[in-house]
Amino acid sequence: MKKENGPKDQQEMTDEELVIKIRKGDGTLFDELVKRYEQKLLRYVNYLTSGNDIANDVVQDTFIKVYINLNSFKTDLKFSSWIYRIAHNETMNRLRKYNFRMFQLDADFVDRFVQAPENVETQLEREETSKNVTKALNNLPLKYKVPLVLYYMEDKSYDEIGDILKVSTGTVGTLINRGKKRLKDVLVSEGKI
Amino acid sequence: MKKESISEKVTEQIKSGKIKMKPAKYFAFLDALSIVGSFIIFIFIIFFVNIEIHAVKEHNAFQYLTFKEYGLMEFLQRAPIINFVLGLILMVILIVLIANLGTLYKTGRLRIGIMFAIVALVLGLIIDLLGLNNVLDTNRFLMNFYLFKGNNSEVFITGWISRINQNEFQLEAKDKTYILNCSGMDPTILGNLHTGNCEIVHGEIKGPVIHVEVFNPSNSCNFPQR
Repeated sequence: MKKENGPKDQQEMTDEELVIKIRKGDGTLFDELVKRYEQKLLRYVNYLTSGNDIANDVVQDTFIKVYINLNSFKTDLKFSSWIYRIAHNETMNRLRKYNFRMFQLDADFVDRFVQAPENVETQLEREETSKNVTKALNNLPLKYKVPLVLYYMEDKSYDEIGDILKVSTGTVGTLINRGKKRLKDVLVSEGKI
Repeated sequence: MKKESISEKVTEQIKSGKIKMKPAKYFAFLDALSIVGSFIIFIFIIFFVNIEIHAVKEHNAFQYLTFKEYGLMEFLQRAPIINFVLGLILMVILIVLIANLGTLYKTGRLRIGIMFAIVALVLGLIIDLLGLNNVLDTNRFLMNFYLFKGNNSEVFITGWISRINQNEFQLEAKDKTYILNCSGMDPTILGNLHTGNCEIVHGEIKGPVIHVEVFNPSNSCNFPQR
């Protein structure tokens, strides 16, 4: 009798283990991968597309591409980096296609830059700062915005961001530092800080 | 009506067979193609670097860089810049191909480029030092890359000089592309040779072997091509 993987087994498996099983023909396990990354990717794509309607389509297309190209995934890479890379490329292609010159970020993103408030006064101050930083971020070029989103919002390490964007770790550090510097320059020039 | 989630939509497409996984062999083939392509491109880069080195050496091009005016122009006329440009374009393609292989992008594209440029330069120098260019420039296909032309008015001839009669000589290119008839008393004194509207501006004769640079204004000189 064929032994089936129970839900608990699936949940305990790492992404890479799931990939190996799916490659061997257990296509039903792909659903588990979709569940694990659906919300994460939707959030990431939403950050890049300003919550545009295309986020759902992009994420769906990402999963389809992941399934079709699953045999090209190499285990020397983290699966999460690989799937983010596909989602990132898919989003960029879509943005280019629809000629979105800018994407807008909401204030939640900016909260990551600002420490937790101690009282109501500081909270109000923080909200004001969030608004200003959001505005400044929206004026940054994509090449600086994307690493900042991945680092501060998606909690990715420099190494993972390098894998997603296909650049060296050193380049990631440079982009994040330059992004933060530019952000500061914009805020200073506008007299916000 | 219940709205389908992304998970349901994707799973449905997999189950219905609408989307299928590409086989591992397909990706292995693409990887192999990339490796072979990178290797071939690298061979071409070495070839172009080698020609550039050969040309610079043959025409002693670096000396022109010391000229205060037009030094760079003179240098570029003697060093076939097209080979340099072609090598550079191929290098960019190579870096893109290499950086996409596995996780080599972690090394950094600039570092990959510098590494390959140094290797190509060293190999190009070795090829030239081994004298392989003297063999390669006789190849029917490759000889086109060895026709170093400064500009439309200058023709470089590497070949032989032969006497037709007492005062007439023939300069024949090694690659058989040019023959120039000239007259004079002593063929070893290039400046005294009359070549119609042409002028031999630079060159040397070692026995029957010549290497000359002929100024050919508005292509008025008779340069029959074989």
